[in-house]
Amino acid sequence: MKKVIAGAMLVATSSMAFASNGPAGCGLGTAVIFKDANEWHEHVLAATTNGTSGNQTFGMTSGTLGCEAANGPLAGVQTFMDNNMDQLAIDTANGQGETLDALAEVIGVEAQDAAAFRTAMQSNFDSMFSAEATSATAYEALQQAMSADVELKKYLG
Amino acid sequence: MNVLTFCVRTFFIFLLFLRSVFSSADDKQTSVDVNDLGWHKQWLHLLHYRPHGIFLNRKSENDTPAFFLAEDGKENPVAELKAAIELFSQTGLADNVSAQCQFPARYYWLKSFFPHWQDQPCSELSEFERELDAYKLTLIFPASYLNSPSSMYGHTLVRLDRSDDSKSKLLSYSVNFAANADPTDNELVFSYKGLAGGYPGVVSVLPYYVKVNEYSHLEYRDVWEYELNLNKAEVDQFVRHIWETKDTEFDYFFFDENCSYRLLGLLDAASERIDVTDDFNLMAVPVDTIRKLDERDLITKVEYRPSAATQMQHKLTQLDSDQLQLARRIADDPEVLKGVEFQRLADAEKARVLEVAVSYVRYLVVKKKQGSPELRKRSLTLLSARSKIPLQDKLFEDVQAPEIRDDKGHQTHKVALMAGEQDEESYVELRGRVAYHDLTDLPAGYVQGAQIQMGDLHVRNLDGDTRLQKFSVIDVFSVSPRNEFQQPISWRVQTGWDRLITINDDLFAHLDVGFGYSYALGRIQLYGLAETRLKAGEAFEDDYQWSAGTHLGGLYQGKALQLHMQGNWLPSLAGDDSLYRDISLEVGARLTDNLQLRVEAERQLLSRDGAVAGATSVGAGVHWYF
Repeated sequence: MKKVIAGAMLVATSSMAFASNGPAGCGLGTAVIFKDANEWHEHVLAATTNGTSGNQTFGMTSGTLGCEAANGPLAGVQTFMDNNMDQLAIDTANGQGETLDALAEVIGVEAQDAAAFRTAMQSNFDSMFSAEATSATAYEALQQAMSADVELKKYLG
Repeated sequence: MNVLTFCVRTFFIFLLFLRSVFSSADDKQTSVDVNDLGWHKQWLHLLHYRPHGIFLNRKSENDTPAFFLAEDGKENPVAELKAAIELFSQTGLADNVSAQCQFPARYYWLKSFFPHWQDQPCSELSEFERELDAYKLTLIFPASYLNSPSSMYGHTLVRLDRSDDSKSKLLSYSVNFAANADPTDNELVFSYKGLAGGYPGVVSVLPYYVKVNEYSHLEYRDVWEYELNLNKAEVDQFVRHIWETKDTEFDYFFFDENCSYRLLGLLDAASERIDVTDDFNLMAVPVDTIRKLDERDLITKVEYRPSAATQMQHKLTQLDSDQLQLARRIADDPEVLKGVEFQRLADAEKARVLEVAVSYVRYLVVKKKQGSPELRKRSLTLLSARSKIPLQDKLFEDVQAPEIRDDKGHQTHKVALMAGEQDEESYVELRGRVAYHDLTDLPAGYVQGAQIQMGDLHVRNLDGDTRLQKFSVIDVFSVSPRNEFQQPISWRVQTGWDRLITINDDLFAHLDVGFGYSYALGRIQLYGLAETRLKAGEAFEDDYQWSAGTHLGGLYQGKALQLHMQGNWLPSLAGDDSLYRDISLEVGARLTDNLQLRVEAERQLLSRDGAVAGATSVGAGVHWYF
């Protein structure tokens, strides 16, 4: 997983792909929920020397993975979802949590709409987080859930 | 004086003034002694210079040639300074081309001596600074994680917090220094290479959520967050310096030039008032680096972030035993959700039981590495059920931060003076331990049931005869109680030299390995291990013995009183065929945070061919941590 994390490390908002499949080589949108436990040595890598592997050490170097720039108000959301699928699934089911709050912040949800956002997410859990879901399909489901809500659709731009 | 003279004089004074203004650049430059400035403490900090080797030659700890502008920049700070001055003073350069863009921290600091320098355009750097949005620095300390040697001292990294406290910490960036390891190396190779400097160390910048996912959810480590009181100028300089380290490699040595030491080096480079690396020459234990920062009043606020395991433990205490059993049954078989026992619960209760069931399934996957499509589906089924309950409140009380912070426990090193009787002869014993913590030590601030000792030396003077009694190179003992939801294995590994207190008391080398179970009985932990020991030395027939048997014990780690009772039964498998048995008791009593009174008693029995040799040792003394 360390390699997957390192490889999917794109945080500069200017290098987001908006398409649901993501340009080849970005790895965007392909994360699944509760990916099976890692190879034991990858676990050990993280645990022993607190090591890092791969070249993506400065995670926000823009453009190095050849991804297209994204425009639009939801830039950054796909990447966040890519990297936090497991915790997002848990927080969404519970209707609250730190990762869910962080997602709201990335989207730009304002304080007065926060409760509506959590409700929309929780009641749409099944469409976002199923066995076949990927972060790309979850992202689409998220957008659909938000567009169905009178207060939230303004964040979709 | 007439008007003409006055005007002329004024004019000359004006000319002198103009001359001084226009030549101030040259004057300033020559008035700065480059040979002095090249050895300025802050310049050396920016270049990561440190005394090395027997002659304490100073050179940079950075291994990448591109980190230096001068060819001999790694050993010659004056040459490096001269090269920097020449390149920084160039003007009219295109975007991102100037050396200023590559070394902005050096440029910024030197500019105070050369104020006439002109800033060149560096849009990539500006983008980096904008993205990081750093306002204050927080030192992050993931607590030690017993099951792997290199991480046992914990780790430190820095989080760059934004000015708005209400913004999610998960989205802040973090700066981490770590060994850039080969992912195909196995655990033993890691440990060896990490210790011996076989990996280069790199600085990486990643969103904090990556680290939280790793530490909290993958490794189940608790995390302490220490806010540092660096001002905005220092924070800016820190960010510039991080940019300078991009794509470069530093030495990495587990003991002294490790993650924690390097972070201190980065902090030193960011601020003239910080000189923390001075305190660390032989080794840098992460928790000690935090203590040093605290001593220098650099820490303001401290927050505790419990791991997923700690949170689960805490939730378990908030359910009654019926609910706990139901949660366990649901986790094993989600069909139980359809049954009346679950259905008749109130919404809030249902939600709580489900949340615990999910935590347990995730624990199985992550900690027990039982990842399977079945468990994955189960997790999603349980979460789906939870999502149908429209409750969005936090249903469990937050975990309280431990009373004693990890950095407030006893100090890292220890010396002890004990006196007593061995086999009716009196003895005095002096002990010294490099690091870190044993099961009978004062427990505050340390993981319960965890023992890690390195370099533990006992020298005993028995009836006038002084000799090495015992030396442990490494001694790790993990006692973790099993319960309804967690079934860890307790284990121990020890190697070094020791002596028996019976006849045949020659020094022997040994390696002990044991595995077993532990259970909690109130505040006491009972354990039983299957243990094997390999011993080599003249004390044994055939000069060695390989034995295997059982090791039982009971442990109580209270704030004021500490008790550890142990018994071993080890029949021989090969070599010397004597049967070894022992029983021992260690009692500790807290005198101060760093002073403990200890009493020890041990009885050893060796049996062979019907004959038994036994001896008893009793002693008391004082242990001092520093």
